[in-house]
Amino acid sequence: MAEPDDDLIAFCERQHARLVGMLALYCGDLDVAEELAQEALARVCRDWKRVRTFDSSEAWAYRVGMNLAHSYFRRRSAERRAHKRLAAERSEVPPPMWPPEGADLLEAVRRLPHRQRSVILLRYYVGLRVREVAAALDCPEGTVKTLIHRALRALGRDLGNVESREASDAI
Amino acid sequence: MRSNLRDELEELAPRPRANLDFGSVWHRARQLRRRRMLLFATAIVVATGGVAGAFALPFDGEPANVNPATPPESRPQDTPTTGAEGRGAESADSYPLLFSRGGLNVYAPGKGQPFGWCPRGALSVSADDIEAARRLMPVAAHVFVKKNLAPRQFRKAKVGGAGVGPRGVFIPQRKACGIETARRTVVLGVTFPKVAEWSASMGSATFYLSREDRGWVIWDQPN
Repeated sequence: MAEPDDDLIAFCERQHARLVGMLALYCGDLDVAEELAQEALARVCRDWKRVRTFDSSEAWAYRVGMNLAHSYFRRRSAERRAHKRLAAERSEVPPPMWPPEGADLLEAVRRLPHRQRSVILLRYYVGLRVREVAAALDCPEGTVKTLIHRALRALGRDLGNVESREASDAI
Repeated sequence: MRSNLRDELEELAPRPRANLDFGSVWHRARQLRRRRMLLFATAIVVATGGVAGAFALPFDGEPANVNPATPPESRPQDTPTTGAEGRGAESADSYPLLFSRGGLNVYAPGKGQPFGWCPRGALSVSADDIEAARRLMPVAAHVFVKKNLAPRQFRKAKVGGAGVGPRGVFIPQRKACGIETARRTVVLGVTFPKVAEWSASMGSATFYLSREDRGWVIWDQPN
């Protein structure tokens, strides 16, 4: 494996903070998000020759990050089941520094089904276009628009009034 | 009133506690790459029937264990094989004509017939025969795929390598059809460049061909 080129280093440094933020909002855990972001960037490095030719390399990196998050969720639920089976006593864990208490928006986002959560974060936090979100999630643009619409409606129900401008902006 | 979802998410999202340590990311990338190469090598060994098979298949180099190029009339031991020692009554003789071009007939499994029936009348092959099979295979693959699969992307096949085989003790065809049949079988590696762009496994295939009195028989596609 050749030495990393400047483009790759710049790409990783540019995407790191946003990737951590997105994954933290997605998983609700900053420690996990940092680990997943690092793993996603390692995969970008591994496949950089191919990834750099994509229309949206960023979308690919976010997709990898989210796939890793899904694997993490699966692993964690298996761990939970194992704990339950063994009835292991769990030690008291100090409350994490993030997320802050009373973040109702975060709670509402986390209650969304995972595909709706993905599109909301990619569209509104990362700032990808609908076309790029569709490429990242490997689904048609129409599906992305539908998912955004449903997610905004669910958020509106939970939080009272997510501005209707968001909905029109999404479509 | 929630002003803007974008701003709120921006405000809510945490910042990384430390800057990116690119060295450790790069180190991890190297680990992942090594692991992928190891998996790839393992897959090749498994697909080719064990270590012996992987190293014995003469795909990249000159075909080994081949009769020297001699004209057909001067081949003294050109008796057909009986084949199918270990298999049932089915034989590749029942494979129908795929196409005929320039006096050359090519046979392959028809609709509802599986690959893998042993050829009973396989004749010995020379280097010239292998070359003929090489030239034949892109057309045969094209016609075969067109008849059976139809997706456009499977057309325009390219032959990557050819040799006599199959070799290796774990290859089932060698056991089932007998060593003599195996020695008289041309193994051709074919790639479908369009498919290989999106699937490495589906983008390549291996075909076993035998020369018989009636023409060439494509009698197996192990992968």
